[in-house]
Amino acid sequence: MNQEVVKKMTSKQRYVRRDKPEILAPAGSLEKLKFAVTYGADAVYIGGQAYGLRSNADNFSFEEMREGSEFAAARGAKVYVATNIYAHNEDIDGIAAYLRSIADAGVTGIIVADPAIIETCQHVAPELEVHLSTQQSTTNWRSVQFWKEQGVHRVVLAREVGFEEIRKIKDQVDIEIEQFVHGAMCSSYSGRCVLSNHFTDRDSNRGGCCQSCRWQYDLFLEEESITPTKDEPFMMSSKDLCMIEHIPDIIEAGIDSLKIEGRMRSIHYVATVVHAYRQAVDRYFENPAEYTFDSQWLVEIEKAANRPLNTGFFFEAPDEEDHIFGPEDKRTPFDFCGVVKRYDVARGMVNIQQRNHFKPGQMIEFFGPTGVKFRQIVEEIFDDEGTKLTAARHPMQSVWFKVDQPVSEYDLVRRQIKQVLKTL
Amino acid sequence: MTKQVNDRQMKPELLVTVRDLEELRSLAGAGADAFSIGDPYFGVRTPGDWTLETVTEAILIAHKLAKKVYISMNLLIHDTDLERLPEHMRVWTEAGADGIMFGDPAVYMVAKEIGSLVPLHWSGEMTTTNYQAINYWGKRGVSRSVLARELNLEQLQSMREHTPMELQVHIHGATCIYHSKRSLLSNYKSHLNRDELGQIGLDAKVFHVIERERLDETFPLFEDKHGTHMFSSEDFCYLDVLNEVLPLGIDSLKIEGLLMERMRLEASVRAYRKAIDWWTEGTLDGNMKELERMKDELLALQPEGRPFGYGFLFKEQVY
Repeated sequence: MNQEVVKKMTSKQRYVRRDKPEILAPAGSLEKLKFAVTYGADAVYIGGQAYGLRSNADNFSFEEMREGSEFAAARGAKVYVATNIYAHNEDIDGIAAYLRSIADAGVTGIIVADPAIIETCQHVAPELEVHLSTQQSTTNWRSVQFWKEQGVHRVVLAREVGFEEIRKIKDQVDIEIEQFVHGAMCSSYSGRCVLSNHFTDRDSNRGGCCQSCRWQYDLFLEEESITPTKDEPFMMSSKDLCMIEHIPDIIEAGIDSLKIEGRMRSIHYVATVVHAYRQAVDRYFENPAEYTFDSQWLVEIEKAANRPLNTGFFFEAPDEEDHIFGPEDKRTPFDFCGVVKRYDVARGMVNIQQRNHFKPGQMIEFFGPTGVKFRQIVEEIFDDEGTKLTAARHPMQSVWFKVDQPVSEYDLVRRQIKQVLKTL
Repeated sequence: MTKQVNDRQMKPELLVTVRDLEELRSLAGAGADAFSIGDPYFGVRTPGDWTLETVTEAILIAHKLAKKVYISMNLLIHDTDLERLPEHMRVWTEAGADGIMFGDPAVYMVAKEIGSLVPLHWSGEMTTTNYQAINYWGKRGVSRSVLARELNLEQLQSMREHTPMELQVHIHGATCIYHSKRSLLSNYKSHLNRDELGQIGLDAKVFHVIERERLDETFPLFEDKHGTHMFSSEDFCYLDVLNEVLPLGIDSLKIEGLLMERMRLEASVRAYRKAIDWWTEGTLDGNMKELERMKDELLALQPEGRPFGYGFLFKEQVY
């Protein structure tokens, strides 16, 4: 078959699926896991105390993995553990015991890049699913075929592949494909960057990445500086991925798991993003032919976004609009004020666990997994003893105030602090 | 260093990249044992402008000189490029290439599919960091592993102790520290509206960047059809510490000629040739002063702002 025909076929090909693809959310802690599942994730990925790439994250103990797996299983969700470092010789000895322990904790699978860890897992914990990490930067079907023959259950493709390539891979190889659809991106091929090692002696492929790609540089050609002013530095910083507007394309390309980046992100971020994708995927499956995008989903996502958004490599290679050249304002437009712990129906009072400062007179917004969504002005705030407070100022503090509508546990409270980035 | 090195490791191979036939002859004369040549399509960050025909000729010439040629097919391959892979693999098999260095499992799959007997060399660039991972490839018929540059002496030693595979170590020249598929330089040019800079991606002009808090470090980078590539701020130079490296029993020592002028490359090949011969003869230790002098001579040829370093050989990294 000539290339033209293949191209035509693949571009028209639409993967028809009857089962919903998985929505896979990051969970940097047990609490975040519970929120991600409650807000609609079908699976979450977490990090343990070793062999993961987020050495700064609030990683899970085996006990927490067990509790997380039980919480998830009770709600029909799965847990995967990221063991996606590239190990060095001194890391090898502990891998077997570690994998055995996470398997015993009841998780479903691991996300892994290093063949050493894949091989050990197949020996000591064969009940675990092996998902090949994007750190392997898998970009073509023959490579996917290789990993399938090695017994890998699922491949997370490189973020550098587009829809055409994903369709081709799904067409050629019968294997689960997971793809990042939302969140921050390495600007390099994942795994193919050691900027941190060379700049700071921190090993990026063992969790020490210090995001050198987002630093500011001056660019030169021979002696001539190309960088015109301090305000327009050369940077390798990518905008964040957001595919919420393209759910039919994602599903019809045959992607089996829609992955959201961000084990370091807040509960607020994870809940907001998962909820938006949950609604979009559910809407699609109600009636694929009649599917329409609801712009409110993007409005919600933008409340938690701290970088401008784009579509990565899905449609075409990123151009100058897809990069960040210049200083970043890393604040999200909405402050995450707290989580709802209880609702006292009789008194119309809500009990909040504080996460960020807020005080009487401020406009806040409630939202929740069951569709709760309203704004109100905060009136008087009390502590557990009923003492009136001038503000909710202490992290994790338990506070009470009157609420205009019924709320429930897992609902969140946020407050706008700056303009939303209009980005897509 | 306790481990006994074998005969092969007493005469480690001196491997160097080569940009054309003329350079191949001169580097052969300077004492290189083997040459690394980029596949015209599947090689990435490889010097020169080779074609299937000129590489085939290079293999013939090298073999007449009793030298080896390894083909770099180290690209992360996208589906659009996949179709021509079997053809290239057949060409190298018929031409009698002495090895194919690969970084994408697709190359391995195609080699098996067409029944190629050319030895395969695994190079996951910065991801080849432990002995179990290289033995994983070894069990699947791969004969050599190209080790990550971000390893120290103890780690190299432990590699040797845990694998029968041939090991290749980068001993001299620049190393790639970042590969993006993005056209970062062209994009920056468009962002600045500076059309006069011309077609950045086509001629792979070498730029450099300086991070604003590290003004004494200059990192080269260029853009080509595969994206943007950035390199170390120093050239590795292990010449005067070969007395620590050679007893490890590394099979192949590689000099990277990318971003290096012909004269500088040839001088470095001569220097390492001499040092390796001393090692083979058992006179290296007595010649350490001379090695230091040779290193100073090489350093004198370095462009301004391009120092020598030992990479990670004596470093401990954290994470």
